Amino acid sequence: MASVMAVSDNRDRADAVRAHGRAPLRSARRLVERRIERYLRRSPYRLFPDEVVVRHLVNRLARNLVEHGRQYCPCRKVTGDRAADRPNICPCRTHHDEIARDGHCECRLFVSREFVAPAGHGPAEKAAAGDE
Amino acid sequence: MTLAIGDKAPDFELPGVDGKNYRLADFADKPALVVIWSCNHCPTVKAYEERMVALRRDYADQGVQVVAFNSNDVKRYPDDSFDNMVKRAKDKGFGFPYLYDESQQVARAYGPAVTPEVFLFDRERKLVYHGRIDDNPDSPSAVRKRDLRDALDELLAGRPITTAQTNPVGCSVKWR
Repeated sequence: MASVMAVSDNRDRADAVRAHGRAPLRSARRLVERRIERYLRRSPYRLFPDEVVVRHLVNRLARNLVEHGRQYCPCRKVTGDRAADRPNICPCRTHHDEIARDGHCECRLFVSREFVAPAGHGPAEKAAAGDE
Repeated sequence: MTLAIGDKAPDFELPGVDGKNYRLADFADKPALVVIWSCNHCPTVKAYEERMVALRRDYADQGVQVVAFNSNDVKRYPDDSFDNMVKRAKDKGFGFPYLYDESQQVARAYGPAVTPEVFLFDRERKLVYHGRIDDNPDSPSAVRKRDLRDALDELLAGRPITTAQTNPVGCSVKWR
């Protein structure tokens, strides 16, 4: 996983530079979507089951890619310290633990296969999934 | 647990950015209460702030009360401090109470997952709509479903709420 992520980071950096140079947000959005699709193919997770939520998160990831050069999590602060922010490049380093604990990652882009999203959220989600 | 449609609004007593304390009963005479879980740092909240202010303005003459809460853990997110709440409310001209739920007890009673997340209560303070403000955080001009406004209009007209629940969009509430 670490070597895959390293290759992915180098490719991401080059892609980000290219994305930033032309029609930045649209290109960045397409790039983010491709990366998410690629990740989903090899991960045990799926996307949050609501199109509006996912579209917004993809837009925010794309915006971070354009503004910061990296696909930072839309729900975490970008400090500007590359080393400190690196763990928050989507998918975040902590997303496995978050999904195991809550059924979803911090921003709720990725969810477990068992995740059920009623319109109610928070602890009720865990109860609905039988985690409590 | 998150409130379900039909549940009564839990009581609260919280400090507002204007220096006053607010309780649920303070709004007893309002035909509708719009509770919005919010904060200072979330980009989605920022994208919705003008719409929140517009909502308050557009429905004020019908007696609708908007109240925003911030329950985020300030240790992890210092931007969500009370001082920053005061500043944000002033800079953006909120015009509605913006309350600080430092202990997160009120958040645990209502059960929001993200910011912004809306709980709309009728005159009896039963929950009639829960979820998002509309279907496009990124582009107000591209909104196709004005979920909260539609629910409010139906409530005020005495009609059944067509869509009582939607998935709210935003950053997760930062629990301690």
